[in-house]
Amino acid sequence: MIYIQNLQLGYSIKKWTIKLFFFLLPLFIFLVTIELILRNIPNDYSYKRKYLDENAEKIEVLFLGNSHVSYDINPAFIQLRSFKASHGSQTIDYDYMLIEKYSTRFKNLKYLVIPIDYFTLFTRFSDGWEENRIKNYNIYYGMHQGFKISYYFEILNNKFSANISRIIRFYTNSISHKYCKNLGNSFNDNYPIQKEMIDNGSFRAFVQHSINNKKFPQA
Amino acid sequence: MLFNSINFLIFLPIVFFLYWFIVQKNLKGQNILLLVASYFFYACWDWRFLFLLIFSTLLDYFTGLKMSQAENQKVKKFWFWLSIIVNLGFLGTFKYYNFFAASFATAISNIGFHVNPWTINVILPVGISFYTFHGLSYVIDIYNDRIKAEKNFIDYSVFVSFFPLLVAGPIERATHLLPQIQQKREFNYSKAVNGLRQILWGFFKKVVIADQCAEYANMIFNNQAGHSGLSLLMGALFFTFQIYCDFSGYSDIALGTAKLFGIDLLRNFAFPYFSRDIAEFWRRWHISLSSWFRDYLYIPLGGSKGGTWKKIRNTFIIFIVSGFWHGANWTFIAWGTLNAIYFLPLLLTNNNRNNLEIVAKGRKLPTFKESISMLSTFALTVLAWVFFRSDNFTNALLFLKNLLTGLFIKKSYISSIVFFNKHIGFSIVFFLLLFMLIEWIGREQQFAIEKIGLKWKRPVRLLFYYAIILTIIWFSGKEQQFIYFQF
Repeated sequence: MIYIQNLQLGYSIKKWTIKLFFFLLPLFIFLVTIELILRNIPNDYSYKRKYLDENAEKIEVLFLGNSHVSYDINPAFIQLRSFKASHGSQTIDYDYMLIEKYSTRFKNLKYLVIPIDYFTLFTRFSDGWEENRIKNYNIYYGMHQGFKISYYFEILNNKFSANISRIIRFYTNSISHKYCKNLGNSFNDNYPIQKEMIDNGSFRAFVQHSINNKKFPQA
Repeated sequence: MLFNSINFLIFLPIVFFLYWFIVQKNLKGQNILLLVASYFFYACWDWRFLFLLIFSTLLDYFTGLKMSQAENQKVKKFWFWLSIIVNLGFLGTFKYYNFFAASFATAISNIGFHVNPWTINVILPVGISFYTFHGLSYVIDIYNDRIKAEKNFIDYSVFVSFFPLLVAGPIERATHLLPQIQQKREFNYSKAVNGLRQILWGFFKKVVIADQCAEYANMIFNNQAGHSGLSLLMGALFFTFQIYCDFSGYSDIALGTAKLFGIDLLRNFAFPYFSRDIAEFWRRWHISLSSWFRDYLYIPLGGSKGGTWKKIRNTFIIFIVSGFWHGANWTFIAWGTLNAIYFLPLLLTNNNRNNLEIVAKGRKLPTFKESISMLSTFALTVLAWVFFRSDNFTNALLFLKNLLTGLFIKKSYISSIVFFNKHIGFSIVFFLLLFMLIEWIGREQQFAIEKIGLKWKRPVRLLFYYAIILTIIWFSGKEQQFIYFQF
């Protein structure tokens, strides 16, 4: 009798699990597809990774650091072959990881430019609002730091509606997430944005780069 | 670990699999697994506070045993008060110490003395208010000979720490949950399906309604000086839906998850915004807390027996303590007091138990009188939520003043309409109306979609569930904290 009860119990749970599995399977396939499509959209990280993979040996001046470096200096005016592997808010630990990753391949590297800001020595991505950038290094550079599932998926770092908008923008209007030029420098010729940066940029930078800045949700 | 996190979506199936496929024949194994899973769940938030949880569990377990073994009332009383004092001591230290220190400093500065209060810089352990109340109910029940002390430490620990209810309730009773933990659980197909449905509805409430409303409510409450009366009203309404969907969504996920493990938890919400008076609202809102205060505070104080003044005193005590339970801020005390003021006329005129059944039971629509009663009760709760949401008492009063005076300035309507079009839009209005419609249709059930679609053809029913899931996915993104985690 006990055996029969267990048999029924086993049948019930198995039936339930199989039904749930097939119910969820289309959703799982759908989400994986969206993740793959998102990863296929060109962005600064995938571009710079590819550039470094192909040209690490030729680089003579390498710029690292955050957006301050990305926007400030144009490598085209430097006589030595230069490249900017800087990214928005990139912290010094990621600068180090980038150097480490390509250290054996920088055969001609003469200068390494690393910015020092007031926040450089204590800010980390995981401390604040920029945490969602960690996934870019995991996915596109293959550099791993810390373990959190969201660090490994595009889909988990943005509102899903925003992700769909990104896909639509790219596949209908070819608007990608690659904002840098060929040598890795960023550009911004949008006057209203520049004006806004002058007006509010310092405060926003303080919030973005301050440790535990999640404590300033109203900023 | 948040319910609405990817970690939980991985954690839950693993525990479920181990529970039903590996240790399903062994009750002890099931309980040990639940305990380990619950401690892991809690430690994901901050492992250091796990020791506090274990200490609290040990304290109540041993004081419970000591009380049941006590040879005389004096010894029993000693262990009882030891447990009460230590439990409330921890709660008071972590949750209320800074508030009292700062309030004391402010009070004596008013009479000319200036002191710098010594405050402690410590984060509030998540769920402390909930598991402390679990433990207190257990100890009080033993002291009053309602239950016997639990001898099995694992069973007792699961009662305190069962992960679906650990961080934000429902606040369980030993009489309800412990017997279920001691009994062999067998997989129940329809209960598991029902549980999944409840989890789904909980996620819909949290992700689609609460998180969207939170965005707009924050926008308005965080910059209230820049908004007109109509916009402030919108902010208050958004928060009203946010707090309901956030907390009842959490409760639905907790109850649904527990069902997957064959355990029924206490119901926490019963469509409170369809209440016809404040007494009914409080029978339908955060039921496990309201009934806790009723059983362990209100009734011991004399309840509604005795003279008029005693009734008034007890009503104010229970509502103020309930408000203070939510947090160490005068705004919560004001919120509790306001609810006491709402409730008192009903109590004094013996009209507090007029509406025991859900509104329009067995009918599709409410009567005109019922509609007016529901709307006026809803308006009173919206007003009270302003205190709950505001950072401080002054801001709350200013918010209400600007809201009430601003509604009569017709010119300001234009700025509100512009604000609505620019920052909010009709999407949230559509989802709120849809949500309220589904809640209305399912109001006679335990949760709104419990019975919806059960008689539909299978493909249509599946489409309905897929539509809910896709809507949740559409609005999902970065994990948002649940409001009640901070209490």
